[in-house]
Amino acid sequence: MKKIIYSLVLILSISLCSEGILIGQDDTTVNEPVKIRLSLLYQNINNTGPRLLATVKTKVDRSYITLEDVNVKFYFGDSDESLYLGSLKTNDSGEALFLVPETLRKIIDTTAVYLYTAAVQNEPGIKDKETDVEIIKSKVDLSFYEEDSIKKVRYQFWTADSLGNMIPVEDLNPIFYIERLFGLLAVSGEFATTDEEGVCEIVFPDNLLGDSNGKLKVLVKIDDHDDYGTIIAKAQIDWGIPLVQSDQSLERELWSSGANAPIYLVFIVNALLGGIVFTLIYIIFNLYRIYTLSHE
Amino acid sequence: MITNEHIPQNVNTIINDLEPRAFGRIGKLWVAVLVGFSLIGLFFYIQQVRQGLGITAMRDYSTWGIYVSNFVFFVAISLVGSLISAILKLSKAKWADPLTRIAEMIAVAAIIFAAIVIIIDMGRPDRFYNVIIHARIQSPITWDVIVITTYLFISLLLLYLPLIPDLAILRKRPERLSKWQNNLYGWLSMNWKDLPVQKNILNKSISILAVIIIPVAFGIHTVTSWLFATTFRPGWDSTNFGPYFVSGAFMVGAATVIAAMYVFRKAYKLENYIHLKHFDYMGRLLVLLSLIYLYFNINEYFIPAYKMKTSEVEHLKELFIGRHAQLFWAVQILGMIVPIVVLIFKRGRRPLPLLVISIMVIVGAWFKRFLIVVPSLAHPLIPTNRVDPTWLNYFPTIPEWFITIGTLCGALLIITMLVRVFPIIPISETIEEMNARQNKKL
Repeated sequence: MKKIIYSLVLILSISLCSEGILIGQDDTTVNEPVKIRLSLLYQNINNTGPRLLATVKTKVDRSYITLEDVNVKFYFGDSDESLYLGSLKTNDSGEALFLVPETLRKIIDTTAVYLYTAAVQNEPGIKDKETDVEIIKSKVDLSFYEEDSIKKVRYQFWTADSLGNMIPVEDLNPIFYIERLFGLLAVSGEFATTDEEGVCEIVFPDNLLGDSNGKLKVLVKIDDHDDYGTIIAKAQIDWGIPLVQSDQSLERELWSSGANAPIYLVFIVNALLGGIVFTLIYIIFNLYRIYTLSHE
Repeated sequence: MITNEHIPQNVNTIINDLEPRAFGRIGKLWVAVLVGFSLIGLFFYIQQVRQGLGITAMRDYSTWGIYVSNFVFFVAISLVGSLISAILKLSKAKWADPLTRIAEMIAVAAIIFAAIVIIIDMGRPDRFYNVIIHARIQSPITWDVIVITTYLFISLLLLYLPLIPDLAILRKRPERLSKWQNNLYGWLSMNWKDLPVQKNILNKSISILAVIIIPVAFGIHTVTSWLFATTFRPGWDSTNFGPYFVSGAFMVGAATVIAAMYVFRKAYKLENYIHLKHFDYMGRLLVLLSLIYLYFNINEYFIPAYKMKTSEVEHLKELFIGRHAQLFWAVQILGMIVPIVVLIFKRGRRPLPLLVISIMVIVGAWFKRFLIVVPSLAHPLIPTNRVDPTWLNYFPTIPEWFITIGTLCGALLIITMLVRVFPIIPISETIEEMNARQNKKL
């Protein structure tokens, strides 16, 4: 009897606990706003002005997924004292890339240090979130020159001091790339460093194929620097080996189109086929002879 | 001592014994089963046309599955026509004469379904039209289309020509024929008068066909092997592939003829025409062909295994000790080694053991084609990162199985219908042999 009572008590306890768990789960399923992770990156390409890249993600099952169609607002300054720049919705990669308009750049370009803020505010179902990035004003220059028949790429980097004067930056590690069809080819290695004049030079490789005019796109990048953000310098130079394209599809080769099959192959296949077809026609003719002999 | 070489000494008895007969109860049941499975296969094929190849297990890696292995199997079977009707005939192996028609019927059915299966594999059947209008003479696929069509045409002629005198003989006894048979035989026999000049033309034509079918037969299976061997894939990138395919085809073809002659001998009581001698000789032939195939298998697997090139390692390991190992060794041992051992002994070449061995060879040959086609595809030269596991583990879906079974039943149905309509053993040749024996006695 005792055993039965114990068993019933145990079953009842488990049932109540389970119910409690279920009730608990129900409570959590009430439409709570989704917590998001908002990141902001500063980019500048060829000194053309700030580009702000905001990425919105949320955590699902221990991993982050990007959120599409979330409105992100961009500010110059912090949230208390700021200039509203504009807003953008995130794309299918959860990214919103904001290019600061020319008219606003003149207003912004008065200090040596910039503070940009990205914020997700009053979005339905999403908890408000904001993040900022502080950037020191910088400038880059990319040039090419030839010395004793050696082709060189020259890169120089300046930043603004506290008075707003542009001074060269030493010990930066820009990476030199050349754009290829499916990505960037690094040509400088890891140890290219700017000197006290903010200059970094590398020897340009002389064995790269360019386009039909030998043009190559060179890109020098400082990636996500704590003070300067992502700074890119891009230029085009005709130092590549011109690509001479021969239209192989018009040549008679095994890999050409059907209309341009090699003559020997066309001959062999047709000769073999012709021989067999001729023989079969002869057999059919023999059948006809058998038929006519029966009717004579 | 192999005995039982009796041939009836009377023309009427021969004709009565060899004329096509209506199906009995078992025959009707057999036809019903074949029609049933063919219709199920057709149903699933219609589903495939409606829903696309997505209903199969073929994905980005295994783009060829059991359809293509089934295609290779059918092409292999079809080579038996050239083996019996051409190679043995030209080498004056007179004993094989009663088997020529069985071989040709099998060849015609197999090659028709080889063509059908490859259209099934294309998904939408209208794609075959694109193969024709966009044909590149440089492509082995184009060569395959040409050679399969040619082989089908020659096989049909080689089936038809020796039938002409037989149909004329049967037509002389209209009282034993139904109306459709009388009309069909009359049309096909072209009022054959058995004139010496007609016989001369017919024999000459058959001899010419017997000669040209040999290179075409070698061509059909060599070109099929080139569909694989012209790639760089592990397991296919082999200069051995042509003869390897041809020897395997002759082996399974011979086994198919043995199985067919056992069934027809029992079903139509043809003991006076298909003797124990035929089983013995076909058994010997099967041993010879199996030994040749074994030789090519050793070349095909031993040398790559000796070298273990990086690109081949995974493929060979999968076959020898990996996930395909059980099937691989079962096919090699039960489908090749055991038949050789058993058929070396005279007792093994008696009808029943020979039938069992032949079925083992046929089943082994089907799965061998699966092992040739599928495992190689699981190891692409440029693998994809984080690939979907379903791409790596091909296993046919239910529609694929039923469509494949449907094609196998369809081929058997064609053979069954040909047997219903035409004599299985050449009547005129049997009569000629009887006359020759009688003249010899005199």
